[in-house]
Amino acid sequence: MDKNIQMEEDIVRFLEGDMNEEECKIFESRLESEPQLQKLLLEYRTIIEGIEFWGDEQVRSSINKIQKDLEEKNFFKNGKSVSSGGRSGGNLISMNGFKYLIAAAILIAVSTTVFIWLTPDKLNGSELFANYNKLDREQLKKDIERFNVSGLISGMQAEDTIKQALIYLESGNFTESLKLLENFNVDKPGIPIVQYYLGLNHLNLGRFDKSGPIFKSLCSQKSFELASDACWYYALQLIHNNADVELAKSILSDLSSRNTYNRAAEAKNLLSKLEH
Amino acid sequence: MNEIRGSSENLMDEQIDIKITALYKSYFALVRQYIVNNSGTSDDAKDIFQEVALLYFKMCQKPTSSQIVNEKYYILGMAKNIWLKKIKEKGRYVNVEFNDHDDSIAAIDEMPELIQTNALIDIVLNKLNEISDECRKIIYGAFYLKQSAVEIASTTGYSESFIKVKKYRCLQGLKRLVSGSADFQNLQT
Repeated sequence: MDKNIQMEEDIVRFLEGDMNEEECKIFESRLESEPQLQKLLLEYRTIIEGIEFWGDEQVRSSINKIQKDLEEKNFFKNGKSVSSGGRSGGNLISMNGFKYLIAAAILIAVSTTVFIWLTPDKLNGSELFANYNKLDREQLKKDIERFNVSGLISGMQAEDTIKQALIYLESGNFTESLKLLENFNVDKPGIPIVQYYLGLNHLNLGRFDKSGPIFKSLCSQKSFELASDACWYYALQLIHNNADVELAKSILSDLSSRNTYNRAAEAKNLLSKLEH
Repeated sequence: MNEIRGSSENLMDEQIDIKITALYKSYFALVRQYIVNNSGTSDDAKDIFQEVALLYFKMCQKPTSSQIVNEKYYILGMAKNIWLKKIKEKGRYVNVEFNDHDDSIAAIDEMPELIQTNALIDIVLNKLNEISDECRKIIYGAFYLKQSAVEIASTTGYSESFIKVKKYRCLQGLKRLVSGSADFQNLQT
């Protein structure tokens, strides 16, 4: 390994506390005699501090969002922070409140019935699904390339399996692709990208009962890089099944507002078709 | 009682959200009661709890978190300490007691220091925007959440050995961007 790269790895291991006592002693004595190492250590210390600061900001923004969500759910209202299953003196519903509750329930039931009665005539879910369900070939190519490790790390059988599955998928051979990914999933379950392509195969084979839960779950995983695509396919599936078109609309509305999402325009277009 | 701490080193975004929401549901009422009883408002309590949640999250990433005996008093101890600092800054006097439970005091001794921004950190923040999404994710997992290569591999879809190599390369790439920038050079002279 390049001497400088090795030196930098040693610094990171030292800063991260990954060195054992003996390694630490050797490293510290090297610091006294190697000004270059000292300089690099200072630079890396700044980088790690910057990452720490940036990470704190990420968590802070998650906390902010959670607080806003809780605010919308009236969690902070009237000095009562209601935890799930909590009981308070307000459990007894007054007669008036009860009447309003009944009235609201009837109203919701009537509007839901009218909505269900009207929707199938207006919406041909299968047709829309067929028009919009297309493979993102560019993404697929990138992922095939990603699992083509180019000799960086040798003997990566797992990557070969995924790569072959994606090649099958690209050529429209969903059954073979599914077989490979399902086998892989037995050995290493829960890997998001594998789940995603499993979902895509199920979807294209019309196995919506299998693809639905997969895309629903991936759609909510913000850290998953193809989460937006998972949301897209989840919305398409909902439309196909005429299952929860309002939810599909809200997903599409969210996707169409994401400037960096490559299907934002398509999402907007599909949304407008659903609304008219 | 819900135990929020534990395996926070395994957390990714969705799980972080779940854990922090649980923290609010379990302890916000307690913290608010304390703040309101000590010259604060409900809004003050929300601000304080945000800080508590962040610091507690960071505490759980440290190996010493296993020594926390009682989560409830620990959280309350942190809230008291932050509130005391705030009211000192505002020049107000409030008699704050710390004798409820040992963990209240432990919380004050062990509270992690938050990094303050400075010119060098600003450069790092700028350069973090220039690296690839993939590297940002790996850096976030490896150097902030302190996740192992196996954990990062399970959320990114890469292999463990790939992550082991990539995490150093991403950090080295970031470091080169920082040290090669004109702003950094200017600060060095």
